[in-house]
Amino acid sequence: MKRTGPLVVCFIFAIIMMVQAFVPHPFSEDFLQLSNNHLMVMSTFALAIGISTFVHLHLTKIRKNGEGWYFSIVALVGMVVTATVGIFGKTEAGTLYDKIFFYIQNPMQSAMFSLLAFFMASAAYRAFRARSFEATLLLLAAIIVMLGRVPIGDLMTGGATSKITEFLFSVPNMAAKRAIMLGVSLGVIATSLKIIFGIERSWLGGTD
Amino acid sequence: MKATLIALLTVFFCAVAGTVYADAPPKLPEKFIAEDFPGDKGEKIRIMWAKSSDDGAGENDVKTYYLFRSTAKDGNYEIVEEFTPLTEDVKVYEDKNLPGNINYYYQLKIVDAQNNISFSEKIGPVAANPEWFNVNRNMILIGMLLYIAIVLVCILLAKRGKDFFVRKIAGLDAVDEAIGRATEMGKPILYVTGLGGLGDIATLASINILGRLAKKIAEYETPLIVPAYDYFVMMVQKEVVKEAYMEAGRPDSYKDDSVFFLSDSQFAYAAAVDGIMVREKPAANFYLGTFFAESLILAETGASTGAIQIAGTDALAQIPFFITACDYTLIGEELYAASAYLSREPLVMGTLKSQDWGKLILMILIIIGIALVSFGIPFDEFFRVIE
Amino acid sequence: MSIFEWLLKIDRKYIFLVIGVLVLASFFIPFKMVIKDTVPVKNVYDSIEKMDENSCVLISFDFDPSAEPELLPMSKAIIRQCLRNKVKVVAIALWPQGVGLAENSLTTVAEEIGAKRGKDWVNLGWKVGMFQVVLAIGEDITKTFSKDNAGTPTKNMEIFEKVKNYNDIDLVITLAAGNSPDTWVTFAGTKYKAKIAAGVTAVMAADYYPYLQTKQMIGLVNGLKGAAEYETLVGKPEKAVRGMTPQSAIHIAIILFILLGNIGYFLTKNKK
Repeated sequence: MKRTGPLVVCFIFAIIMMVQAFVPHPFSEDFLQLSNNHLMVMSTFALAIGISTFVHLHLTKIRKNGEGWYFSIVALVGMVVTATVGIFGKTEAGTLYDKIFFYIQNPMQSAMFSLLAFFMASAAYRAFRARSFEATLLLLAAIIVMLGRVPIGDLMTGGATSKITEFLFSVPNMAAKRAIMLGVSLGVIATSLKIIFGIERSWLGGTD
Repeated sequence: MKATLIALLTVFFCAVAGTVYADAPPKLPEKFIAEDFPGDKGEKIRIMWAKSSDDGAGENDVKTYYLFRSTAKDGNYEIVEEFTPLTEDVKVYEDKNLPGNINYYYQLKIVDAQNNISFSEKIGPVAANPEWFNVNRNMILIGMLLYIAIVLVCILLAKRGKDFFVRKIAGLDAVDEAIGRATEMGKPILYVTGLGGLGDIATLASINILGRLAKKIAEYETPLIVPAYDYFVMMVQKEVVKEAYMEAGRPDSYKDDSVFFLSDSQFAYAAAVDGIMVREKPAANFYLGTFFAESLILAETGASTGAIQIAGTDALAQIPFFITACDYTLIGEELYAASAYLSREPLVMGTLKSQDWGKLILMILIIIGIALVSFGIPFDEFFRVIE
Repeated sequence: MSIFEWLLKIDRKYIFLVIGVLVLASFFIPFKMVIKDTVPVKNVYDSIEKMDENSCVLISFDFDPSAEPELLPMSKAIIRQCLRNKVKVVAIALWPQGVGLAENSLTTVAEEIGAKRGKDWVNLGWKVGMFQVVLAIGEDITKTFSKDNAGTPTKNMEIFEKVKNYNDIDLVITLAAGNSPDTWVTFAGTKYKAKIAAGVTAVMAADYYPYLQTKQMIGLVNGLKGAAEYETLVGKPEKAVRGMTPQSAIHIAIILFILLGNIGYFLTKNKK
């Protein structure tokens, strides 16, 4: 029963939503909005669960004096201060909340993303070797795209690289993407059907 | 005689001038139609008219088209919209947000540069009726039913014992090796399902793999770390891992803290996972699910710690990054095939095989499409699924 | 280790060092570059340019501060074009941290142009859910967001007098660091026939070209280069255009590293 109940509910709602996609009548549209509202309400409750596990995880780490436990204090203080300022104050431009966001969180996260430039450089250096004909093609395409995505490339080649880049993006890249996309879409439908028909049940807990 | 000649010439020139410079009202469009918008919830009426022959040709002086609407043929007409001279031969306008089942009449007023006005006939009644079937989606319906039928046939064949061939997927063959290595080294295994929510099928596929993996991990009693990006996903992951440990007969080895929520901010999550990799130094890292720009940051950090890395995603842009920095990468649909590949259960294998048949049909359709287009045979309206 | 072998195995910390130094140095070296627009960017620009006054553009801030360097300049350039052309801007966020970024872009540009909150633009903030929010807007935007980010009820706002749902929104632009363009195309585009354009980080851009061909998206602003193109089109070059110098320097450096690696590869191979 622990699994049969959810499986039946899953099957019924999946079929209803499938039919709904083809029925534009207000009755069907109202049902869609109703279920949509329910999903939004449920997501809000999930926030509370997220906060509780976050607090639990860091409190446990502090209590156990685990490696880097003091970072957990920073995480908890950060959460409490930001939430307090946001709940009891305003969040528009120029407010304290806005300043916390722009002068603390913003530079920290931007710095994380900027790491990508460093990693990408070292990964590109390692990956692009002309070991075979195909690898050479890949290497040439990479160099053209890198030049085509910055103005200096056009300056050096009289505008040729950006045109070839657009061609690479919109023809060979797109052809490959579309082929993978078709495979992925079929995979998505097949996985969805496995879940709807109860063939795949491990998402309910356990590997069956 | 002379006076008569002058009079005649005057009349002639006036007539000529009248013909050339006559300030006639703009000509009405030959076609002016209003119809219920097909396949909607009953809130739109589609109005179409061919442009006036004085718009872009003839006197070429049409200034504005005004579209009017009324609930009674001879009632008060209110303006719906005004239009500058048309660039298209036939204007198609959708009158939106209308209450359903009410009859409307439409009239067109055309004004030219000299402020001459022409009124079209009043057309109607037409109502925005709610429909029970969206005709624009019939091709999607046919495709969906066909594919479901293929899936069911494949499942049936699998049930009857048909043995399906599945090609080797190196990334999945390496799973045991990765678990074995972590066990030998006495180090944990990191499993990341990525940034997707439960609505993302890639995340569900990843959770399925996690279940099967956790069972093996539990048998070896190797520590498992599963940091979550989404609260719902975390709850499901906890359940899945817990059940896997129970099924492996090791419920005591399950630690509730092994699955935990980190952050739902993309790079805060990436930073935290990187931190775990650097501190705990897992022997094997699995990145299976939905990933975005953080993919390379995770994979490069993992590579720097010397872990064996297996990745898989349907986020196409991230596949090259994983291929560069990981030992094995599942490309696109291989992620969905993983569950069948690892379990070899006939029913799951059946659905996997249906994907091949689906692809074959799509390939045939694409080839037919290319052939038809090449011979100039219009077919796109027939196959149109993008409304 | 011979020099050729070293070329083959340059330690990544040297690569990191070169990249870091180049980024810093290029900020101090003024280098004016001509930025040419590409078709997908121009399409977004033209579609807003063709809009009548009082048309409405919905901009969804589906990113967090990490993608700010690429997407915030893009958002400012687009908002500047809209407000300057008297096109109304309704901002929402599918990612919670997009709210602050939207507020920053909107207030900066609105102050410069003299546009009013609630009349010419509004920041509706974040609502939990992704596709759920996109679907809910299809019914009624003021019901979905009953208050704006400043806490003002949206029901009687001047900006929403003629805007109820996608039927009244002339263009939806998603500025995204994740896969929200898929959500917008699937739910707002296919279901509600909304016109969709996207501004994405450069690492994501290749994914969205298929949508351009099928016209499920009318245009695409691709990474910092796309943002620089947009700033140039709008006629106010700012951060993105400035960012083109370091980006050019880094791309050239990466190409040189790749070439060095290949030189090392061929020379060691020949030696063997």
